[in-house]
Amino acid sequence: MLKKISWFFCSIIYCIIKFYKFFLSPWFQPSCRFDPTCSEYFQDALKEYGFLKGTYKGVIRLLRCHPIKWLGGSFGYDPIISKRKRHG
Amino acid sequence: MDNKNVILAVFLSTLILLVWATYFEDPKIKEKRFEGEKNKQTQVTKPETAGGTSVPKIDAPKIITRVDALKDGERVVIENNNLLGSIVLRGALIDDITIKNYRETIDQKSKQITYLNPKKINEGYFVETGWAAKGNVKVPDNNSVWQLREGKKLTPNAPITLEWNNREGLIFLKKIEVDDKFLFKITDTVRSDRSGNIELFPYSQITRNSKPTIEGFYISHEGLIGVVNKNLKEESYDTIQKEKKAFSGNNGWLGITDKYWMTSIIPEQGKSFNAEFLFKDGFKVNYILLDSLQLGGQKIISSTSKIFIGAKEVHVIDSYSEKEKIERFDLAIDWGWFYFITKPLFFLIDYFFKLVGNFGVAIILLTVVVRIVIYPLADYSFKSMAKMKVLQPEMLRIKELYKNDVKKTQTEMMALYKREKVNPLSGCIPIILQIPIFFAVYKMLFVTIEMRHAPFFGWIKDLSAADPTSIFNLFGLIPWSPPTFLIIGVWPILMGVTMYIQQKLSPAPPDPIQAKIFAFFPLMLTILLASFPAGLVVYWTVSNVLTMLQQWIILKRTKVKTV
Repeated sequence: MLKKISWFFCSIIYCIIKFYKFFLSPWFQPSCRFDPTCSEYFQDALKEYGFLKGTYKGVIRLLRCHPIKWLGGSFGYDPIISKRKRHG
Repeated sequence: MDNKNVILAVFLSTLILLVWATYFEDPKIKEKRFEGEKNKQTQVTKPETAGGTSVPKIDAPKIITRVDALKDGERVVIENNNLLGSIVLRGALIDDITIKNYRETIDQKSKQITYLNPKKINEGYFVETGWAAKGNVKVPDNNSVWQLREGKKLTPNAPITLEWNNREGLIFLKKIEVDDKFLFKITDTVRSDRSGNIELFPYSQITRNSKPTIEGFYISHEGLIGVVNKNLKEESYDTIQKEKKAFSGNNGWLGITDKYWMTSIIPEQGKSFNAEFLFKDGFKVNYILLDSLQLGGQKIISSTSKIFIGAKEVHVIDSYSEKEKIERFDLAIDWGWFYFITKPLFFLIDYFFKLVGNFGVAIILLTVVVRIVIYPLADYSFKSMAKMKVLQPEMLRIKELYKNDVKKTQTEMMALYKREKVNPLSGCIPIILQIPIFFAVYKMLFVTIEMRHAPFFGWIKDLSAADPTSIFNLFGLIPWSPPTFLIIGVWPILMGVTMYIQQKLSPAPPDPIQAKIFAFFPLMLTILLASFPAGLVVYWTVSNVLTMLQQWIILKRTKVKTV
């Protein structure tokens, strides 16, 4: 049951990110400071950790994506490391 | 990638747009036209059909005009600089209010806004205050005829007092005051000449006989509203028709709101009350105080309530919230989720308006300010984008080198960025922040009364409405009025064109299908925004032009440096 709820919320957020990536993101200059980008990272986090922890990880990553260092700004290669073996 | 889904998404959204235009927009406009004609003929009531419920039976036949209804019984005139109306002595109801300084259409000769109406007509909408008694005590009701004791005409400097004697030893007095804006203060007093203990509970009630024509747009709430102990309660007419809602608290206010106008009853703050939203012979909003006032022997009790009837002007609403200490009265204006952005933006625009005297120019100034604020970040990102262009060959080489290893490519890229110190892009945060600003401008244009009928230059007579011109009749050259979804004005087209140019200046999305769909976006948004407030389209167009200008300057500058 809990798994189903988690899956449900995950897919909602996943769709929002998909929508953003496809329709909104191209309007702006490419500006993510990370690799993979925040939206990719968010999606991976949802897949890997489920709704609660995944959202938490994704939001934290977003909050780090700016140039102001003393507010936690950062950049670079920062993927979600998968414990499971995934294809595609 | 999932190209099928993308095509499906585009197809579906286009379909939704078309369906929305034909089934919701057109009938709405027809309905409005129809209603306009009806008002011209006579103000005959229309049969209530909403939700399949029948019209509640009210004592008198309802086929009378507003004018006739107003002739029925004695009245006391109310007038200040903003309101004109009267109080009917039968029932002591405020049931006739016209908001003087606003008109129904942009035509200055059109009718002023008639807001409250006598109860006998279908659009009946009125406010009362009174007492509920415990036990068998005669208290005044809607049919009690009051006598005018003091005053002649209710104005800001001249309150009036009404009196009603229950002939059983109780005398009811009602003192009504009004300020120069939209606030009434009613002091109900009871004097007893008889022995024995009597318990009375003060109440106030708003009644609206039928659901008004509402815009029914999700973006602004129209219906029953209130704040009870800091919690905002918003209920639609349809919900209340189905079920009653009850609240209790000791602070706040209750009312019925339209997009720009509102009637609200405000209990004495700090006293506990029970409040209800219900449908019974019309929509009712009421509260009753829980602590009774005891009356015994030669005693006088009294209770005060405030009533707001009028236009939701931002500064007026805020001043009542502060000066009259009405808890969270500012929420009467539906600022929405982005309250903390929308409201400051409004104040900024209002400040510019006071400087230049035109809301359109004020919006343009706002665009400039928003640009300046995010300039440092945008500058950052534009600059690095220009630098990226210089690094293009190197990046292509890396891509070619690690063609079969996506991960390796990305890591190498990052290494390249670090080496060349180009990475510091502005990041995702600044971009995510721009979306709420845009939404806040939209909300502000849609919700605040200050934008209503605010003119810009030329053909834009109302910034809160869509650009009325249309390319399909060559902007008025051909005597033909196209259907709603074909009204695509000059400003939306300007917006589309500037967006197209801006798009050409930005890098194309990596996915080819996405790039193709993206090319259609300026066209799609032109069509979509054509029905949005003209002020928003002006904002967007000017914003596009400024972005382009900035981008062009930066590109030029970096080119000079590198060559």
